[in-house]
Order: sequence, then C-alpha cells, then structure tokens
Amino acid sequence: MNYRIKFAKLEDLMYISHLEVIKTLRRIIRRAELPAAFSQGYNPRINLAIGPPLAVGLISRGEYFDLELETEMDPEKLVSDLNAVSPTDLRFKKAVKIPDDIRSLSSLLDTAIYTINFEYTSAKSLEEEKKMLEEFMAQSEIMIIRHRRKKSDRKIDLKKRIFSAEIIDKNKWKFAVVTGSRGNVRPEELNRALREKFSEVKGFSPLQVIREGVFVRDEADFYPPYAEKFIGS
Amino acid sequence: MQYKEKIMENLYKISSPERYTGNEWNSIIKDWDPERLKVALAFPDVYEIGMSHLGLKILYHLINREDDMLAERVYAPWQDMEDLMKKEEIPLYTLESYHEIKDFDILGFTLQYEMSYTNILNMLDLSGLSIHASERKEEDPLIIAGGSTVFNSEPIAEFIDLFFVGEVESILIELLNKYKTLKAEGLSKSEILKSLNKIPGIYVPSLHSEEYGEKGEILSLNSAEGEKERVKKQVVQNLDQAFYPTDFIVPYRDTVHERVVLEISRGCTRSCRFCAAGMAYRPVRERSVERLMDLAEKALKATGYDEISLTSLSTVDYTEAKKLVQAMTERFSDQMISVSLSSLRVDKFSVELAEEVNKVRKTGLTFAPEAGTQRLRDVINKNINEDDIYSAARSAFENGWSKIKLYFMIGLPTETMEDVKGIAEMAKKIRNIGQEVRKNTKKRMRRIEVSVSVSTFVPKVFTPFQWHQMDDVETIIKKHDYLRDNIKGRSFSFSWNDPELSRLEGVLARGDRRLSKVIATAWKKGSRFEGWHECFEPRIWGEAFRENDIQPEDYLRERGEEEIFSWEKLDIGIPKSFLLKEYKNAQAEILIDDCRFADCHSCAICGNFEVDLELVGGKTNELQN
Repeated sequence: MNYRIKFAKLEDLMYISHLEVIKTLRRIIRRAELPAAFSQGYNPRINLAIGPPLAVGLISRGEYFDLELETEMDPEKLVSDLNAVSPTDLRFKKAVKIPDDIRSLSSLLDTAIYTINFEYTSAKSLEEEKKMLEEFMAQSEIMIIRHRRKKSDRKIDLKKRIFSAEIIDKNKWKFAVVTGSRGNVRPEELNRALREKFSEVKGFSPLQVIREGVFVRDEADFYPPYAEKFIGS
Repeated sequence: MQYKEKIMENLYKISSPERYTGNEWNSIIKDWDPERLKVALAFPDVYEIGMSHLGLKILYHLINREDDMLAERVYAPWQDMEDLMKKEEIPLYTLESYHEIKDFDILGFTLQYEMSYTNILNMLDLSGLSIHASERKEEDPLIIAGGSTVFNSEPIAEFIDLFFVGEVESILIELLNKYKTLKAEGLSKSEILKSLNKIPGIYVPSLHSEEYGEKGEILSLNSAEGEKERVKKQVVQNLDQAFYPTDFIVPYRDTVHERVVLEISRGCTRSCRFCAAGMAYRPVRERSVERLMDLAEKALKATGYDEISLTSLSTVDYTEAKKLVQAMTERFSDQMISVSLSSLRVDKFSVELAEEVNKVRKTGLTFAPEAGTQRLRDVINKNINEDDIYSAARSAFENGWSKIKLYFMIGLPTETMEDVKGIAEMAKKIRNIGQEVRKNTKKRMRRIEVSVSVSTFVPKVFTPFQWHQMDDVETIIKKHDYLRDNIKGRSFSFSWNDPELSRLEGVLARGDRRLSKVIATAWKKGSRFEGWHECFEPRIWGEAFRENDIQPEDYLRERGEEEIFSWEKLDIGIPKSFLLKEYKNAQAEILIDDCRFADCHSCAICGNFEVDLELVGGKTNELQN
C-alpha cells in the first residue's frame, strides 16, 4: 500500500537540510508506530521516497514523499497520527493512496513556486513594481553567475528557467521556476538578478522567501503530484 | 534579551546552521516565569559532540522535571558562527528560548576533556561575562562546572565559581533549591558560595588556595577558615532506582550517537592502572534487566530511533549481559531495531555477545589490548593474555566480521621498543588469522582489514600512574615512526595522535592553579577547539607558556612519592596509599583481580561511602575468567 503525503517545513526548521528531513520523517513514522514497510538487505530501512530537495534556509508549504505501508490505513488518520508526533514546524497536510505503478515524485515534480517579499531602498507603488517585473521578464536572457560549493562558478540563464512570474500584492512577487532533474533556480539568484537590473532592490534574506510548494507542470497549469490525472481512476 | 529573528535571518551565511536553531523533538521549552530558576547547560564543544553526552541529557531532564526550574542548552559556536555573532552583535544564546546567557541564574559547564578549556573561556566571553570569577559582577549568572575532568579542575579554578565533584544527580536539585532560597534572601554571591560550600561534593575554588615553594613545588593546600579541607566526591546509591530519562532530544543534524543510549552500569573494578574512570567512578553499580527493558521500550517510543546502545565502562562485565542482550534482541529485532555494545573486552564471550546483537545490522568490532606484550599488559593490570586476544579475533572472523579495530597506547610505564614492536606483531598476527579464516571459509567474506589506533598515554590524576612521567616528543615520534614503518600494506590502517597535543593534554591533566593564566593567554591569542586536530596550534600554546614563565615539562615529569598534588583538595574515596601500592605493583609486574569476582584489595571505596557493589546477577557469575 503506497501513500503520497504532502507536508510543510516552516520557520523553525528552515535550516534543516534535505537529508535531515528524510531522517526526521523516518523517526516520525516510527514514533507514530505506523505499519511501515522496510527495505530488504543489510541495513533495513523504512521505504520512503521524497521529492526534489528543498535548499537549506528555505521554508515550504508543499513538499511530498511516498511511503509504503504493510497494511491499509485511512489517509486522514495517517496524517493526524504523523502530526501528533512531529515538531510544530513540520506539518503533514494530506495523504492520498496511490497505485503501485504511479510515476515517482522525482520524475513528476518539475516546478517550484516561490513568493518573495522584495524590499527597496525607497518605497514603490504596485504599479511601479508591475513595470519592473515587465521590464525584468522582457529581457531576452537573464544571465547570472551561479556559485557552487566545491565546484567552479558557472554562468546560467534564468530566463529559460522561469516558467511564469507575477506580482500578487505590494512587495510580493511570485515566480514559478524549474526544479528537479531539469535544473533549478535559487531565490537568492532571483534577488541578485533583479538587483543587477534595479539597484534599489535590497539584498537577499531567506526570511523574505516562501516556497509555496512543488508542482507538476502540464500545459500552462501547475498540479499537485497526486492530482487525478496522475493517479488514474 | 532574545535574538531569534536576527539569528534566523543571518544563519544562512555559515556552515551547519542547524547547530544553532534547536527546536528538536523532545526539547523542552518552558515559560520564562519569573519564579522559575533558570539554568543554562553548556557543553564546551560543538553541538554534535555535546548532544551525545549522556550526563548532560540526564541533567537536562532532571532539572526540567522540577516545576519551578528550567534548563536550556548551549554549545560552543564554531569559528564561522563566532565571527558572525561578533559582527552582528549576537551574544551567546540558548537553543530553547534564544535568551542570552546573561538572562540566566546559573550557567553550568560539562567538563569532558581538557582540550575544551579555551572553549569555556570563549563561551563566557561571548556571553558578555568576564572570564575571571573574581571580576564577574554580582548580577552575573553563577558559573558552575562538573563532569569527568572535574577530578583535576585546578587549571580552570580561576574561571569557575563552583564545581560539583562526582555524580551530580545525587545533589543537583538540592543544590539548586538551596541557591534559590539564598538568592531570595538577598545574600551576596560570596555569601551564597560560602553557604553552598557546606553541601557535600561542592567545591568552591575561591575558598581554597595553594602555597608554592622556591622551586615551584606545592608546599601546602589551604582552605579558608571554617571551610572543609577536602571535598569528597558524591556517588549515586542504588543506580537501578536513580532517575534516567527516556524522552531524549532527537537532533536533526548527524551527531556522534544517534540512538537510544542506555547506561547499564556505572563504575568498573577491573583496576587497569592507567584508567581514570576506573578509579573515579567506583564502586560498580548495575541497573536491572527489567528496568533496562522498560527504559528501552519507553525511549524507543519517545524518540523513533532504530538503535539501542548499551553503554558502561565495560559492557561485558555487566553480570546479566547475556540475559539482557538476548531479551533486547528478542523483543526488538522484528521492529528492525539494532542493539550495539560499547567497550567490549578482548575475549570470546565479547564476540558471542556481539554476534547476538548483530542480527539486524552488522557494525564494526573494536578490541583494546592496550599494550603489545604480555609483560606490559601485566604492568597496566589489563587482565588478558595472548590466547584470549587471538581466540577472540579468530572467533570474530569466523562469525563473519572482516574489519577489526585495535586500540593501543604508547608511553606506558616501563615500556621499551620491544613492547612497541609487540604492537606491530600482534596486528600482523591478527591479520594473518583473518586471512587464514577467509581462505578456508565457504562463506563470502570481504577483504580482511585491521585498523590500528595508537594513542599516547597521558598520566591521569587519582590513578596509580599519577606519579609517572610522560614521554617526550622525540620518543613519541620515534615510536610512531617505527609503527608506521611496520604496520603497512593493503590490509592495515594506522592512526595516531599529534604528539604536541598529547603533551598539552598531559600538562593540563596533572596541572595546578598556575595554569589558569596560560589557558587565558592561549585563548586571547585565538586558540579554540584544541581537540579538533585542524584547530590546534602548538605555536600559540608555546607562546602562552613562555609569556607566563611556566615550563610545561614541570608538569610532565616523574613525581616524587612525598609530593603534594594540587588535586588532593578533592577526595575520590580511594587513599593515596592504595594508588602508590598499585604503582609499585605495576613496576613489579604484579597483577590484581577484579574484586567483583575475587578478593577485595582494600581500595577502601565501599567503606568510605558506606556502599557495596550493586550487582544484579550476584557476586560470582559465568563471566569470571
């Protein structure tokens, strides 16, 4: 029995890494005494597959993992059992029973949506911000230097990696960008690229960013990985 | 003041930010009610080391169990975090409430090893406190310390207001309550300290002093008028009934021991003559199998860990070892919970036990013969012989282990190059046994690997070797060179300690109050985290000794029988005459047995504390060998 589970990683846990999240999930599953299935072999572990990594320092309202159970469980009870033994800022939102042959999270999920609270050295009206966004996205390419740990810097084009961008409220920009095996965009890079174009944009702080979640892009729309069309009938 | 927002918006700039954010499962966040006594528990090393310390876990839960108290944690920030804190003006803070240390009533340090003393000073400084007890203000928190190196705490005596000597669970709550009452009465810090000094096991260094002779020797140890002369260590009586937590904090970051740690017994009477813990933590007290099973059950449920570690100074000497291990594996293996053992002895029984626990996951196997020849093993009273070692190794290989770790020491009393040669020979012989087993087995077996780890012997206080001189750097290097040349090849790995670092440890381990200024100078010059090989700078320490006109060699030399030692302000319950007799036995290669299984050797501990050995399996048992 497989379940696809949505969870949020919030402020207090923003600095917990991807691998630490996986380890924490396994311990929560044990504390909840769920009938988890184990891998075979030398070092048996709870069978769990997680979606694309969330960078250290970011919070997210919608991440996913797949979990195999030995016996069937009511999805709502699954969620409440997990929440009962989980730190306040790691919240389980929803569980959906999925068929065995469903596409994996890592192959499905290709989009991350961020809202970023940009700040400026002088106040901007909503209209001014909209104009900035228009100008920003009208560029034929948005080149940026990516700093990589223990590797050489690399030049990348953000333009190709941004699926859509809009201003949803004053100071609130929303970007849908590529994530997973086809590349990714860091919120800090969006800040930097915008700052290069408009010097009045203030520097990056991780507290400005919320990852609204990871999604599956289909045509121009974004779906959760347990949408009807992926789990079949 | 609380600094949470400033901290959260800056941590992305440094490595391993999750060391500094807390919020782990089972961490206890209490309201800052003005009526509550607030204690910050500090460990002078990084988070992942401090989080593995059992004593600190016990204290954290013990204090937080009291309704009118709270305890929060703080660890030493790594260099990048220290820089960030200074730049952003963030003082040292606790992981629970993000309150700065100055907001607490008490700051308590765990002393686990000598190489963390500069971190203590650094943590005081980052808290905005003066490092010297005499210069701290009336409203500053009381700085207390305890732990395994408290038995020689003189080198940091000038920095600490009060030490606990021995096992603090027995008196901690009493002490904190007393402090609370005295504080409420409006007494000054020095009056409070004087009053707390009446409690057994409490050592207030400012009420004691040392008098030195012309050659720097100690003439006398003095205490202030009306104060006790010696401080007797405290022990927990009836360990089985003693408080033990099960709702351990579950870290996010990888730490040294990410598992349920169960202390099955305390103390060891094997009487290895080099071993500080073996003398300091007597008598032996064991927890019952029933209690341990109950603790294991609760702790697994509370944490979600998939491993239980049974810990003690010598796990296989636990009188019900076999019964316990069988009960654990029977109860938990179908939940894929593995059991691991620490501190195995080198014998067949240990291998059998290890085989029993490795049904779920196979972990490494470590043996500590300590010395390379039988003669030297007799000198240190390591009661094992060649045959034990080789048959244990054979049985380990036959049971499918292909990797064996061996621990040895160099620089033990009476050691010659013959003994050093013995280390290489033993390693080779064990490798040969492994290769022979591998050749003849029908099972698939990985390539045999023997890793040899050699540390330099550091004479410790309150042991029979406290009189012994430490090897000089040239001698240590000569021995390392020999071993490196003779333990090589694909099947071996060889590791050793930095000789300069071992010597510094040697100075601090048998140091006195005059070293306070050396430590302060080294810290001012930027020394931190000496226990981390990459952080240790011998140059700084060399300067610190010179500038304070102190010869490190004076602390490393052979001590005279009649000498007064700085640490004799404390009383561990074993008379000096017993230790000296044992030092002479060592030189004469005379062995003594473990009093759990044979005659009493009159170390006097039981009489001094009106206790007896607490052995759950009775006094004689199958482990006797």
